[in-house]
Amino acid sequence: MANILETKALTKRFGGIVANRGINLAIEQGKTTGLIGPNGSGKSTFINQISGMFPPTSGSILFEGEEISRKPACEIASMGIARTFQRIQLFGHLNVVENVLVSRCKFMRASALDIALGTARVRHEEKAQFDKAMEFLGIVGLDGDAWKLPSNLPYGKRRALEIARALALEPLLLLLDEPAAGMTKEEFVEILRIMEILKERKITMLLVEHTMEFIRKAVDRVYVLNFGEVIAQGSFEEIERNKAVISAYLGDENE
Amino acid sequence: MVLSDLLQNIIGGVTVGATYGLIGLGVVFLWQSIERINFANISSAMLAAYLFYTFYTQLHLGFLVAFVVSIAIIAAYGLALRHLVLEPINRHGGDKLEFVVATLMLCTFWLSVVKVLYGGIAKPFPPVFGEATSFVQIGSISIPSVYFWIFFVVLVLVLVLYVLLQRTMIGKMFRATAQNKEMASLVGINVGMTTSLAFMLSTSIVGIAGILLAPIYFVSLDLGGGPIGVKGFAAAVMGGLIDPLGTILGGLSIGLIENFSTLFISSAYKDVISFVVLVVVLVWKPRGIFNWTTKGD
Amino acid sequence: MRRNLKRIVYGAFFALVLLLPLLSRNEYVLFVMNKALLNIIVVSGLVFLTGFAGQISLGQVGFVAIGAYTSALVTTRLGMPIPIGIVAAIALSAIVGLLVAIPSFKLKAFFLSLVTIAFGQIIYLLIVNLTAVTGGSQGLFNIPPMKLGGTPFTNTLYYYLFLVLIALVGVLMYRLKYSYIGRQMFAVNDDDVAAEACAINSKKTKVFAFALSAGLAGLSGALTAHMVGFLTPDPFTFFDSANFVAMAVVGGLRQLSGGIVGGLVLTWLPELLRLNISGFENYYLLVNSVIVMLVIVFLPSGLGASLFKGLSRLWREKQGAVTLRNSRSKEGE
Repeated sequence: MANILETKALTKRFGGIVANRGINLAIEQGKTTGLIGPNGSGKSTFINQISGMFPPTSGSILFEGEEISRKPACEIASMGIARTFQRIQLFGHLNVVENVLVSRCKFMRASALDIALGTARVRHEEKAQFDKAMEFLGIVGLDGDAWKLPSNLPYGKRRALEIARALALEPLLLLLDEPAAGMTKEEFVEILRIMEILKERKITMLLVEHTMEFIRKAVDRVYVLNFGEVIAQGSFEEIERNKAVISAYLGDENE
Repeated sequence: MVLSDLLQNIIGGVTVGATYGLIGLGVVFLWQSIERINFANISSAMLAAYLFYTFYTQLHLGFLVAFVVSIAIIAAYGLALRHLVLEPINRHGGDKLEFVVATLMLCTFWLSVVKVLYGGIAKPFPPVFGEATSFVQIGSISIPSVYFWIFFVVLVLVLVLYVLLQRTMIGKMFRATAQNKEMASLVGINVGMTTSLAFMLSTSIVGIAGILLAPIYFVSLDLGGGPIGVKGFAAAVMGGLIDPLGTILGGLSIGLIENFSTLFISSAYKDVISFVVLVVVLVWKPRGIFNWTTKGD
Repeated sequence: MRRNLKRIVYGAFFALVLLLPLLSRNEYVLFVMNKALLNIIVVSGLVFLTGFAGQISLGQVGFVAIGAYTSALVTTRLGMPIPIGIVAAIALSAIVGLLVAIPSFKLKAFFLSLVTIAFGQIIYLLIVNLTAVTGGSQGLFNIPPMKLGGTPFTNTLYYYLFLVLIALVGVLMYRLKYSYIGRQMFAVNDDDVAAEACAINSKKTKVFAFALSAGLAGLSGALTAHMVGFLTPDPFTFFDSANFVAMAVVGGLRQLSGGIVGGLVLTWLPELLRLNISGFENYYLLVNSVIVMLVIVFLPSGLGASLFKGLSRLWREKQGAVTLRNSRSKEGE
């Protein structure tokens, strides 16, 4: 099986703090890879580096064999890495379907001149992309809320919208940063259902999570981070029995 | 000859620059507490100068009385700013941009108020800091005696502020509020009072700067507009908008840059050069070049 | 019934706009109106830049000045025809706009506003000091007026020309707003990190917004130069930039009508005050600034927004979504 993304000795320093230290991680095509670890273990930093929000201090990130560690975020997204955020980041002044349409901009070919002249091409393109956006909303079950503003959606639906927006990029790799954080029981069930759909669609995912229950149900392979380093990797069952992992988690709970 | 020219310009630059630093402090204190910039910051300088002129020259109050009363009024004006501008904007759902535009309009407002009340012609500043023509001769350098006054007052003020911010509860309140409002109020800091204090401190420091600058710029509308205000901002930006000492240093550097560009290039371009410096600093080091308050990431 | 009411109100408004030069033979009214129209062009650009793309500019008058002096110099010194002067003005302003956009990659809100203030001041000081080119504070004179068949434009002709231009600008802005470009602007404005994660190049987006708004400011400046016939540095101060931003905020930053409402109201307000508060030359500026402050404090979304909210309540329409034209009808479904 081919790896779609590999990091080699990926390191990120913030001043004197090392947030990620020499991380070697591989994401297999078509699989869901989990990344777990206690709070502050460097999970979000890792995602932010892959998606181009922070440039790495050293090391490399290969996406389909290409080095992307120095590329700007928008280019990485354009190449096919989509993401969601730990704290939901939607566009507050755009309604639900418009939020998804933002991700469709990269598929738009009309030039500013076309738009200024109001050519038929623009109208067709807008219509086609609008239908596409509605389709993605349908996947996460939000097609009924298309005209609402994100602020009028309940928390769980906002999460779903963020996922739909990421899907609309038609990514080769989807990074989900704690999608189940802060959810109620029902919302949790709903997000698991969405995860199932994504897996059925064979979307490659990197799932960053805090809760073990969610990871257990969702992933094929797990990496465990602690203090910025990978301390274990393997299937969930292997991880569960790993002493280092247990102590890292228990240590976290004792604090 | 050349050396004395150099020294003369250094002294001149440092003196005027110190007042720019004070104006910058006005920006810094407000930014620290509410993360807003009052674009009418410089108006306080003009208002204080005109108030002092009124009390001292027109009403013949003593120097100290006139000074204290002027600054007290300016401090009260700071409080009014909070309650009549900032709070209503927040209440009606306005944000940063509304505050920017409202204070810009405030700047025009005060200029037109002063123009209506005093006319557009500059008033000579009363010779409280010695006659305009009095110089102190040191070797071949002659220094206007006003400069000593300015320097003395700025020095005292900086010391007072240092003690206030580093050695008293007020300083702690300021820093805590600046870092995190919710946390500050949770640990029992009165955020509302801190905000009021910040406003009052901001306007009164700029007011003092205005009275100090008046012997150089006269009691005029120049004190309430464009270039001087921007130099105050530039000083604050050099201190990263949060470091008070960095702001004073920023002011000094701008004063020096401006004097040397007059000396070596042309006085016509001295303002252009200060503005270019401002842009360069902002783009090159947005967190300020004299900012030791936050450790870089 | 409601629909008819809407037609009547808008119909009356457009009739008034079209027939104004016939209704009022007063040259002064037309001249102020023309100034208002020129301001509308600048403010529309600012609505695009600040309201849509979220980038603040307190030096917009710098672009107006570049446009005005470019067209004036191209037509007087180089003896080129006016249309070439205007095109050169738009182009040069837009190019400078590209450069001013660069600091916006790193800087936000206040820091950016300081850069733009410095930019505006630098342009102003250059105009004052580059006497050989700009005529310094003496100014430039004998800038050729536009001509129709050999006779110079009257105020009425300028009025109709500006109306046509504003209509074109309006259509352009409308189409951009309701296109993916507009959506990119709004996305970058709301959250530029999330926008980048959606494959939107926020730098390009900001550059586009700056260049477009600068180009519009340049156009307005060039037109002013030919209408008035002379140029001095006086109308290009920091306070004029501040006034443009005030117009945008008073009109309403988030809708296209903001530029029109703000430009009209804040061009006419000081004129009306000056006419009515006679004797005290300076009072009108004072009252003007107070009124603007009150509007900003009490109606932060702007007069335009409040006006249209009131009107749509009148014909009971729902407010639509932001960047999709067909959303209103869909919402009813």
